[in-house]
Amino acid sequence: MKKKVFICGCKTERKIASETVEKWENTLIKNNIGYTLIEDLCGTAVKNPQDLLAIKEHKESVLLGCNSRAMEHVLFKAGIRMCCTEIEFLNMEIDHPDVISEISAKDGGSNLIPYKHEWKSWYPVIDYSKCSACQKCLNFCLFGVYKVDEYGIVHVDQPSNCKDMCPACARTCPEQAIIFPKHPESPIDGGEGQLEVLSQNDLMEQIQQNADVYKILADRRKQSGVSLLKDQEKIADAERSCCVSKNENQKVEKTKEDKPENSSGCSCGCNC
Amino acid sequence: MFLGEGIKEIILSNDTIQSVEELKELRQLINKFLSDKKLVPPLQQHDIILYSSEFISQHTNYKQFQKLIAVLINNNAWQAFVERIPYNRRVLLLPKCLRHSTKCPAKIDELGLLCEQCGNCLIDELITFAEDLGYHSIVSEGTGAVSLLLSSGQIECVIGIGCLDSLERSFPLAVKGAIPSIGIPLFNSDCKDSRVDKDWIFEALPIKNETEWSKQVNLENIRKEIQLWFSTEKLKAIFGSDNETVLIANKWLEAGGKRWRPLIMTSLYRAMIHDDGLTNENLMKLAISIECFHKASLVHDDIADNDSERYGKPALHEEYDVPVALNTGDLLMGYGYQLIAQSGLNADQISKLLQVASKGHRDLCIGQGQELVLRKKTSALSIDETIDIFTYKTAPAFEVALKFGAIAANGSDQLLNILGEYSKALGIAYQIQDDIEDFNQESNINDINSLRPSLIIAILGEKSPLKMQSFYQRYHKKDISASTELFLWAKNEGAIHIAKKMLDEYKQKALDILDQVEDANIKILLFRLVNRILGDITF
Repeated sequence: MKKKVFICGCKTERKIASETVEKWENTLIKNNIGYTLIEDLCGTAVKNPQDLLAIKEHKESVLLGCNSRAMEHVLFKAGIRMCCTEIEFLNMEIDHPDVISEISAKDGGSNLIPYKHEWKSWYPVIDYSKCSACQKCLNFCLFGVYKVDEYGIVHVDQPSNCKDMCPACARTCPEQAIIFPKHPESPIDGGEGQLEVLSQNDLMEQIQQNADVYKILADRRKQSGVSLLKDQEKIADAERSCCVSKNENQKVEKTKEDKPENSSGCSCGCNC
Repeated sequence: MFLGEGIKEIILSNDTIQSVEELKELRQLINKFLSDKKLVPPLQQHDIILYSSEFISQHTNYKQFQKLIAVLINNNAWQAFVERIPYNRRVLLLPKCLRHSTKCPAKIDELGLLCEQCGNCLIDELITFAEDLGYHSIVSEGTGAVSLLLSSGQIECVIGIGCLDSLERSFPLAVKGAIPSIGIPLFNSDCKDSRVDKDWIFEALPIKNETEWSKQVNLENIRKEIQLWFSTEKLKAIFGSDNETVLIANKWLEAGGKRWRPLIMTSLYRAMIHDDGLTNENLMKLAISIECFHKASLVHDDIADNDSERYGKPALHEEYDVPVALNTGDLLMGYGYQLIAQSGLNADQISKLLQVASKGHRDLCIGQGQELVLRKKTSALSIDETIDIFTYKTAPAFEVALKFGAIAANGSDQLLNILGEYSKALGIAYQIQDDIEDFNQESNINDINSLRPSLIIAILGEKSPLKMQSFYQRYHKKDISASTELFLWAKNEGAIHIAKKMLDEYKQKALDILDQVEDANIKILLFRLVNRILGDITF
C-alpha cells in the first residue's frame, strides 16, 4: 500500500524555518510525490481538528514536521490515536530530505489544509505515558490552561489561554510529561534531550531544609561562572590601568610578555 | 488570592499605566495621599483594599488601576523599612520573561535563569546594577522558586519585578512571612519580551537610610541560641548539681520540647531592644524561668491525665514515681520565681513580671480546674464553654512569654494590653489546631481522655446532644468501637471543617489586633509568630 504524505508548514511561532519546509516541499515535487500541506498542525489540531480527518482515514501516512513525540501528542489532542493509524514521523530539521525517495508514496499534486486563525498556536500537550496526574501544572498555571476531570486526569482544556512562549509549567513537571511543540529547547519540545539542570545539588531542597538562603544564592551566582568572568574582567581592567599609570612606556609589552602568575612583576601587587 | 474570601467575585483589572511619567505621577499622588496615614507594615489585604478604595474615591480617573494602586500602597508602607535593610540582605527578583525571547542564550536551573550577560535584554543591566550595590538576584520562571524563597522564612527583603498577576500571587506569601517587599509591575503581562520602567527600578534599588539598622529578628538563629541555654552545663551552672532532686529537675528541663516560650520571649525582646539592655545571661534567666513554669505544669498534668509518656519517653512519674514527680514540679515552680528575682531588672519591672507570672499561673489552674470538674459530666461542653477553657488554659502560655519579653524591654502598658488580646486569640487558635491534629490521628481518641474538652466534640455535641450522650456512655463502658464511629461521625458532620473555619477566624483576629501596633519591628515579629505557631509556614 502506498503511503500518503503530509507536511506541516509550522506557520505560527515557527519551530521549523520556512526555508526548511520549502526544501522538503521541493524534494517532494522533484520525486513526483503527492502531498498535503497542513499550514499549521498545532493550530489546526485545536481550531479545526476535523480538517485532520484525512490523516485518520488513511491507514498509512508519513508526517513531515518536528519532533515525533510532539506531533504524536498534537494528533492525540485532535483525536487521532496511533493505535488506529500508522504514521511514520519525519523530523524536517534532523532527517535528510533524500529519505523521501525511499518512501513508497502516492503520486500527484498537492493539497492544502489551511490555518486561517490569528491565534499563534502556542500551547502544551501532555504525554500521558509519562503524566502522573500530580496536578502541579494545574496549580502552577496562572491562566487556567489545564483542567482536571472527574477521573483525576489532567487535560489541556483552554490551549488558547496559554501565554505565548511561556513554557514554565513544563519545567515544573516532575515527569517531563508536558510538551510545547514549538519551544526551542529539548526536551520541552518533545525532543530526546534531558532538562538541563546545572546545579548538582538540589537547591530547592536545601532551601526547604533551612540552609542559609543568602549563601545559596551567592554560591549559585559564583558557580554560574559569568560573574567570575566579569570579576576577571574587572581585575584585568584594574591591572591595566595600574600599569598605565605606573610605567608609561614598557607597560604594554610587559603585560603581554608576562604571564599573570609570574610573581616577579612590579611592587603594586597587580602581577603586571 | 489578593482579595478576601467574601469579595472574590470582584475582578480587579490588570491594567497598568503605560507611560513612565504618568506612573511617576501616580506614585507621587499615592505617597502624598498616604503621607499623614503613618502606615505600619506589614499591611494586610483588607488594609490595602481600604486605602485603595479611599484613594480611588478621591481620584476617580485611576479607578481601572486598582491592582497597580494596591502594589503602590504596599510599597509605600514598606519603603522606610526597606531603606534600612543592608543591600546584601536584599533580593532582587526578576521575571524570566524580561529576556529576549529568541536570542537569550542562558541556561536554566531550578531557581531560574542563569544570565550570560549577552546584553540582548535588560536583565544583565539590572542584575549588574543590583549586584554592584550588594544585592542578591534571581531571574525566575513562574512562581515556584519565588514561593519557596518567600516561604523559607529567611529572606529579609525582596524587590520584586513582575506582572500584576504574579505580584498578586506572591503577595499573600509576603504577608504571611511579613517580608519587607517592594513590587514593581511590568508594563505588559504577555510572559514574553516583557517591558518594565527601568528608571523606576534604578530609583528603587539604591534607596538607603543610614540610620542604624536594627537587624530583623531571625527566629531560626534565636532558636539555635536557646538550645544552648538548656544544655546540661548551663543548667548545672545555674541550679547546681549537688543533689539528686536538683539533677532530676535539670534533666527534666533539658529534655525535649519545642521551647516556644523562650523563643517567643527572646524574639520579642530582641525586636524591641537591639544592643544595650539586658545581658544575655539575664535574658537567659528569664527565658529559663518561663520554661520552668511550663515544665512544672507538664509534670503535674501528666499525673492528672494519667499520661505515661512525654516526648516519646516515660513521663516523670513513670520514670520515678508520683511523689518524686510532684516534688520536682514544685521545685521547678520555685526555680521560676527565683530566676525572675535574679534577672537584674529594676523593681518596677520585677513587680510587673511577678504579676504576669502569677496571673498566668492562676488562669492555667482555673482552666485546668474547669476541665477536671467537667470530666465527671456525661455530656459535651458547649462551644462557648470549650473556648472559655482554651482561653484560660492556652492563652497564658503565649501571654506570659510575650509580656516577659515586653516588660524586660520596657514596653508600654498599651503594648502589654495588645499582647494580652493577641495571646488570647492566638492561644485559642493554637488549641483548635491541636484538637484538629489530635482528632485526625484516630488512635488518640481511643480512651476516655478524648472526651476532654475538645472543640470537635463540642461542635458534635451541639449538633446532636443525644447522640453525643450515647457516645459518652459507650466510652465509659470502654466500648472500643465507639472511637471509630465518633471519628466517622465528625467527618460526616463536617465538624473538622467547622473547626478549621474557627481556627482561621481566631488567627485572623490575632493578626487584626496587630493593627494597633505602632512599631514595625514588633508588628513584623508578631505577624511571623502567628504563622509560625499556627504552622502555615515552615520557618
